[in-house]
Amino acid sequence: MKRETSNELLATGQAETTLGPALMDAYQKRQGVTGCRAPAGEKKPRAPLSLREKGLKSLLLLLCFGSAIAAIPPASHRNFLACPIVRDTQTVPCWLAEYEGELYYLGIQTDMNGEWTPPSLGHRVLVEGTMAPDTSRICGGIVLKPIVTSVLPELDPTCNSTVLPAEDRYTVPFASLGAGPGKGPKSESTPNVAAQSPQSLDDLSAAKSFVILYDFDNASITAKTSRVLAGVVRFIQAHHPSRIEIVGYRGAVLLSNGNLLVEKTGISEDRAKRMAQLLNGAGVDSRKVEINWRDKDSIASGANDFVQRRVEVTVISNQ
Amino acid sequence: MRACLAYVFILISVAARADDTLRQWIDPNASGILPANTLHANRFGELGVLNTAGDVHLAAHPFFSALGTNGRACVSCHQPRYAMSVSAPGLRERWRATNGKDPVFAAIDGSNCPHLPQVDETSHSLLLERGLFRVTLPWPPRDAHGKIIDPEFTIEVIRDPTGCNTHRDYGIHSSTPTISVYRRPRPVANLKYVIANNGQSLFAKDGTPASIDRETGLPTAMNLMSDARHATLKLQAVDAGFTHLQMHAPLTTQQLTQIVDFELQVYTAQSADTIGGPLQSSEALGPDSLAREKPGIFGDTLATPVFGSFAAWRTAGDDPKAIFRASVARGYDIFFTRPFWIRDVMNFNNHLGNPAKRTCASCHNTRMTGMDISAGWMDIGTTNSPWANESPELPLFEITCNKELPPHPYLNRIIYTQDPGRALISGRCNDVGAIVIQQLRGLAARAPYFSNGSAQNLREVVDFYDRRFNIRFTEQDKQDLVNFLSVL
Repeated sequence: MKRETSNELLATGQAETTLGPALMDAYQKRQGVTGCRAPAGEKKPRAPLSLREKGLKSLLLLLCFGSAIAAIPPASHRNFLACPIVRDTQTVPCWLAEYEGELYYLGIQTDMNGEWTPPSLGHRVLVEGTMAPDTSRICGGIVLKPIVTSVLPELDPTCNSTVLPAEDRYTVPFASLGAGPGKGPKSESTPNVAAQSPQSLDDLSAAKSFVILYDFDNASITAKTSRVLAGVVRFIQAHHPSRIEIVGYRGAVLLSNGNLLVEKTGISEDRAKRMAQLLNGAGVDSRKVEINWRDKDSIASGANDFVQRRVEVTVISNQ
Repeated sequence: MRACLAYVFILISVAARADDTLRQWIDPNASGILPANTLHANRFGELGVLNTAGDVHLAAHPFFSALGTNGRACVSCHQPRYAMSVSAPGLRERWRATNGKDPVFAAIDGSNCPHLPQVDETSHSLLLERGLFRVTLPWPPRDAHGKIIDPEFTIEVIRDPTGCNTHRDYGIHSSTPTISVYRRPRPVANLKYVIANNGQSLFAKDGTPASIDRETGLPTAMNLMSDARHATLKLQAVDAGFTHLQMHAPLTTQQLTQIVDFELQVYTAQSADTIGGPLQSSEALGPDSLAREKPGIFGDTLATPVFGSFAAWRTAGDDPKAIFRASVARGYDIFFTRPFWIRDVMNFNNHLGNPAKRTCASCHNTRMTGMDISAGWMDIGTTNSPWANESPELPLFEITCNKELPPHPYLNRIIYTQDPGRALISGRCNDVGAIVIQQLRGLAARAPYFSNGSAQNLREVVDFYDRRFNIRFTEQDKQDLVNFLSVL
């Protein structure tokens, strides 16, 4: 196993968080997660915590108040942290989040095969979305599409668990079947191998790479990404490669308020090692697996920053 | 009225079969023939047991033979009369009939703990009152290759009413650290549905690698046991031989083949209702339909509904049979189509959003059995605080999840549980209290319910869900659901 400890968190000369050493230490000690940075030389704003701020401590602990590597995300993007909101409808619930006084529509409840996994009340959600060109609204919120959401791991007592009741003015007619059984027939457990893999299962001429994406600050794969991973395993089993390289990455997100949200240190290593365990558990020969990780900063632009939160699995042929 | 009719029905049924001991309790090493079709009276009507291979000669058949040192056979805990499981009332009846000498009460797991005085009825209280057998699991857990798993949490025994978890020979601090939990035996029937591998993914839905069947090289359904610890019928049988039967040598290949073949031939379901009459008239009821249908079909769809349509049962009528059947149909509609808010269920809400507005069939989604078509361990709160029923007779464990790892998304880092469930196998914090969904067939014959026997009857099952998810069923809803569950 090859180890690459490229922790370059501070290599750019940027200062540590604006939260103050005590809070930051406590946070990192307690959760071992997200680091926040401000550009070098910039004065870090610091104010006493009010009651409201104390109530929102977990949010404050996640945010950085310095400006980011890039100034702001593209105007069409909305990247923010919020407590999610769920609204009932006559068909299926819809999920919303509020940012700077505006309500945004995230999506509707899905099933296991859905492209999107709704958030969780009681946990803050990181929203990375693009505003639809026509600024249309669903369930009262401006539509963000495409959208990526990450449920933050820690419970947040400031996020309530209230469900907004259905109102006639809010409908999701495209979900006419409602919350009951689907039309079918289908089998949720039947994998579509071709759809699982980002590349087809054709011959392995030299090397093929697969990308597994992750939620923010999370090293576990989800039910949806496990289907992608199943395709990777089947590809490996079909081609008997000489070597499999796993590289874990750590990401960052440029928020719409200009702050930079950086994943916790060590998560790239965690992702890479867990990926190796998963492949081994699925029958891949661990002797062929080489593990690397890159914990250095990624450049966050505010657009598609989620692709940084990944593991790359490269399958290398015998040739 | 129902109780009166049931009593008359049972009297007639029992009288007609009083000489047929094979339709009652089957002893290990019994001789005779178990007919291909048998009917067994219960308080709701009759349970049917079908062996698709025909009559079974019991003598020398390994499923019915005492193979170990404690006199038990597989059939001791998997009696046809009780839908190939055992019921708590049946066990009490057996205690009285044998003065506690039946091997089903063996000290190893048929008592609360082996160190207790075995002649005392109170030493077997969990089996007699809740139908629970002691299941012993090593701590820390081992993987399929025997390698120790580094658990994501520590476990402490907070309450030990049986004395087993803190006992110097049997407990967590013994020379072979062991955790004792107490669970209901699952029905050994309808197993083609339970083990169906309908394109099962290489990974379970929690993202962990699925168990692989070493004989086929294919991933397994992982729905066989309440904690999914054994992936195949053979592995389960071998383990049961060593643990429940206290065998000193493994089952032979021939014995294994005979046992597994038998298990895959047996189907059971309620066959007749005292008021509703014969149940085979509905497409998904009765054991014949289970033998006939294909396994591995996702049933949370209008095209392939979990238990058919009950279309013929919706006809109006004011006679007791029509009224009962209409109630069953309404209960099925509630089960299949009425949404409610499902919250904080690990392995459900983390995939579909928390909360999610879905139906009973969203989890109980496998056609004909109502299991989960994907590896179905979930935590609905039957064993975890704050939702589990108060059970001072069961152990209580404090789970402390590793602070370096993400917490359990709904229960955080300190969890109190009567049975950590899948977590005792996986070592994962998120699996604490997660139990594999079991089939909903033959329920009328095998109370109590849930893996820890916490619901003494079907009404308590419905009441648990009503409380857990704040569904606010009406009394009529509850009776309709009980009637529906009783005919399965």
